[in-house]
Amino acid sequence: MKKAFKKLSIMGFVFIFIFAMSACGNNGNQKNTAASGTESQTRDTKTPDTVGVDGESSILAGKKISFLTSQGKFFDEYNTIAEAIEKDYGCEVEFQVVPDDEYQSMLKVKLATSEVPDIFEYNFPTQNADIGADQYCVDLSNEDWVTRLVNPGLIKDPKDGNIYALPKESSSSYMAVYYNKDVLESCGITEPHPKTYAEFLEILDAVKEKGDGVTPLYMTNADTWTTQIFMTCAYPVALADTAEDTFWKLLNNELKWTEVPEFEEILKSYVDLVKNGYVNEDHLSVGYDTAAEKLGTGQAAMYLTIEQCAADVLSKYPDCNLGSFVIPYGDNEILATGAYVQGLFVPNAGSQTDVAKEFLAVWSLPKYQELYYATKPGFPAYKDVDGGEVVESVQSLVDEYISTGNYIYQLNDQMSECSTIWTDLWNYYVEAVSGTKSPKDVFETFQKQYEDFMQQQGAEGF
Amino acid sequence: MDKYKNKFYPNYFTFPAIAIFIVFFAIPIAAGFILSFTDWNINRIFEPKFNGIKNFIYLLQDEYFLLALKNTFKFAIITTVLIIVIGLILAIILNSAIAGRSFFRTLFYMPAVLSLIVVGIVFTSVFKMDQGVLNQILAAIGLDFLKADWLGNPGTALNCVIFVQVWKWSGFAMAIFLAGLQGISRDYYEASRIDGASKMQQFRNITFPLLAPAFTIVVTMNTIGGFKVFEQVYVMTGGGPGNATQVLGTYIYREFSKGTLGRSTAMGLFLFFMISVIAVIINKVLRGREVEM
Repeated sequence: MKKAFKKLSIMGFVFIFIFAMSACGNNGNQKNTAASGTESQTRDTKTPDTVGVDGESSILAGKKISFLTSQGKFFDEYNTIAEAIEKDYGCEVEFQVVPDDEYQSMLKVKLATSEVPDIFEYNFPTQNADIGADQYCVDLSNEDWVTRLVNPGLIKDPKDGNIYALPKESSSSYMAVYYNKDVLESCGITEPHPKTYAEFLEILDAVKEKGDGVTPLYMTNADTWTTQIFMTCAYPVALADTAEDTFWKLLNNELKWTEVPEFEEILKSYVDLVKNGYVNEDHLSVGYDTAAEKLGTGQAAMYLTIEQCAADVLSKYPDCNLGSFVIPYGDNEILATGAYVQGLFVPNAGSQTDVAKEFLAVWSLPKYQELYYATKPGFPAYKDVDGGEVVESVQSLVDEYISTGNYIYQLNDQMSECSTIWTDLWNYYVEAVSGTKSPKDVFETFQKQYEDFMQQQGAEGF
Repeated sequence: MDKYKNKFYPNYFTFPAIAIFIVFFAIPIAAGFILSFTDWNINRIFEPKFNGIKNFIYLLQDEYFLLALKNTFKFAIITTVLIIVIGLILAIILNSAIAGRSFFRTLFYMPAVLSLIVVGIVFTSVFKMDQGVLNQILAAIGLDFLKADWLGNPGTALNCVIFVQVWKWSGFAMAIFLAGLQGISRDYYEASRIDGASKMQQFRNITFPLLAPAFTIVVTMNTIGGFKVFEQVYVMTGGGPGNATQVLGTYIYREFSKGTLGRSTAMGLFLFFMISVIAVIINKVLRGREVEM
């Protein structure tokens, strides 16, 4: 009797244990990869009667698309688009949002091990080589949406000319000084348009003297990607006609980083902005997230950043009058911009590449694209999409520099082979600003690392 | 036969734990050991090539690895010393018959149960230059000239992280020392008092030697914890400004993120052996001075 009870108890315990474990397992699946640092946002599957007319004959009906992206690239508008597509086509989207600093390596591991999502987001075409797009991703050159592109030339792979991703915009990265017009006017400066670097410094001086405690130039060096903007833009602008040749020689080991005097001079100029008291005292401990408030409330007059910041400022402070101008590095008034756009890739190893391609075709339709641009006006990748009313400070840059061809591609895109070690260089810039390294030391240190990295990559000439 | 079965029957219950240990600990350690001698890279994830001790030579020539090593030692030594001193003082005070001692014991122990991430985020806002609590307190008491960008200054950033570590773990050390103190018989103190021993002599000749087992635990745990530091630095400074607060944990993480897997595995292995050796030495030295009660 006692033995039978023991057996029964054990069986009961085993049953409860298995039941509990399976329940935990289900729960884990629903929560997806949150435990490993990945935020997952899944909508419930709709019932068939909510499937839209458009989607009844689509292969998307009843399917679920896994969509991998990074925190910096993910916007609430993606949810809005996904909800609309789900309503019309009955296709559920599962967003997997990964922290920015883990995204690149996680994506590479996923591609190399074929543990891929249906779709992932990444910059292209400059970063195509970085992820081996020609090896791991579907060629989308013959998709129908290609004929609707505004700027197809920009997104073709530099090596084989193929299109490996569905672009999000027609161009991006207008890096300039965005300023609070009211603050500058209170310092006696209207419509600033410096033609030389000295004129830019004069504007800073004016705010420093007359600004009543206002920070002339806001810096956020805790986020090193904001630190690098000055140098990344300045190098090609200051080198001007010799930029392309200089970067080519660096990539082929015919020139060293320490042998380009402009690099050291520009970094010294950046350090001098700090030394001369033009920037906020806490520039080493504050990040990009704090900039919108400082600029919007007039605590800071200017901020060197990307166009996204203008949208961020105006969404929080709609009454703020924003303007923009380009820093004339080396007395050259040229806009440095990105030779890339953000794009959606379909990995070869995906379990439903045809469905993913169809999903991209739907995602590109004006009805869904305009859901994004309704709240985030910009420059759509497709001719038939209305990008909304772009912020004046951004539109003026496009009209004055992009449309007239007075622009140059930033360093990062001209030497995209080194994207993995840029963050180290950006950290060295911060060390220069904090006084623990001289500009000369920065490039000596980076040269060693650069050589080591290129050797590891098996680059020719190293 | 039944007797034989019964003898080994309890061992079967250890199999799941052993399996988990082998899969998630022993195999990764062994794989890590092998891979640290390769050029394993995220771009050639299935083609690691043996490269001898090249990774280890690189580490010893890498100024930032050496900086991280220096910072890690500084962090581990200073935090361990401060945690022991503060923990011991708190334990001695709260072992005496003072009013509200239970309340204070709980109060000082509480930081130990908080999440490191939460603590890091809270103290990041405390140390902020603009509207940070510390600077506001300094301003309120007329010490404006001491206001600083605590986490943005390479000279103070690591000290702030050290402070947080000490704040968090001193109460835990106090609890261990308290347990040790309460295990010491009052007879020793009475006998010494009769012999005319002063309080200081009692501490030096009774309390301190008999507290040695607790001392061993606190030193070992905090030294290992200090060398393994990651979360506090990652949350509060991210290894910055620049690389000023880089410790081995954050530096290894950064190398992994860059995809240099062989090299970062070598760093992990280096840290593993360094901690193991230090822990064994500490344990041996401290165990040697423990006395039987």
